[in-house]
Amino acid sequence: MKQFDEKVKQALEASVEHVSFSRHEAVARAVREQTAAEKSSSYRLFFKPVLAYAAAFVVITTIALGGLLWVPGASAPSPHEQVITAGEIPFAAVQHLIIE
Amino acid sequence: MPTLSKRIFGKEYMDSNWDTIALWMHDHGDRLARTLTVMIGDTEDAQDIVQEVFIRAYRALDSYRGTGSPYTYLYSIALNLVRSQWRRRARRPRDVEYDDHASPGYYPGPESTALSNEQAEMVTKGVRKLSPKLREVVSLFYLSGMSVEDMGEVLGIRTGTVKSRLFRAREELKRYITEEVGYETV
Repeated sequence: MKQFDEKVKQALEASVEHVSFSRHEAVARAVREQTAAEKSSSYRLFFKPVLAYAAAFVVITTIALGGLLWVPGASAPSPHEQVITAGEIPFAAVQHLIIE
Repeated sequence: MPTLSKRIFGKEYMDSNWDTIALWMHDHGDRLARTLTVMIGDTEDAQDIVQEVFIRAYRALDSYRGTGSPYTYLYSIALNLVRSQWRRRARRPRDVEYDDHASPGYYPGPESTALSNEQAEMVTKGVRKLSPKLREVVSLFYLSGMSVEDMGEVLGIRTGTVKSRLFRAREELKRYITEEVGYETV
């Protein structure tokens, strides 16, 4: 049996002794493409939603804080300030100054 | 010192997983291609499968770490691919028929010294006549250099079953050779 095994082994080895694996580059290319696809999919799956949520959070927080801090009429100038900022002296004031 | 990737491909690649695969391709690629050529009977198909084996091994490398030897790991992937191919081809019966002529790239080499070319060709023809299950066992036993225990692990069967399949394969091979030549030449 051992002799038979030895001869079969020799015959089979001889039949494929010219065969060698020749697709190293093809494997490397496939792995590179796969790695690139995984990177882009991890961006799509993880970073993109995180960025979207962060942007939405900033917008919503700004609107909410703005709503809390806003006081109606707080920034509207008083009539007196209006007069000064307008750079006009009302006639009544001028008249008062003249009288004095 | 340059990494294996750099030595083999002339440039750096990806990550440490890739270095492992590059090392395996270097160490096991040729033997795997030869074993599968005998198992399938076609060199190009064997190259396709070995290529796919390494791509899949890279993908699943993180889940592999620490379990079994790389050799049995690679052969397990290869066996799954070969069996899938056989199943696909079984649906197209004409594809699985092997003719008596050696397929391109699968022939006794000229350096065969101990056996005559005729004897070697007779053996390879005989192996191609075996059923897929027996061909799996024969190609792993004679070409992969694997132990019967490892073969059982790769094939998903018990060691005793491996031995009985091997026994049947030997008997069928002997019968084929005796019938073809008329007397036992091997």
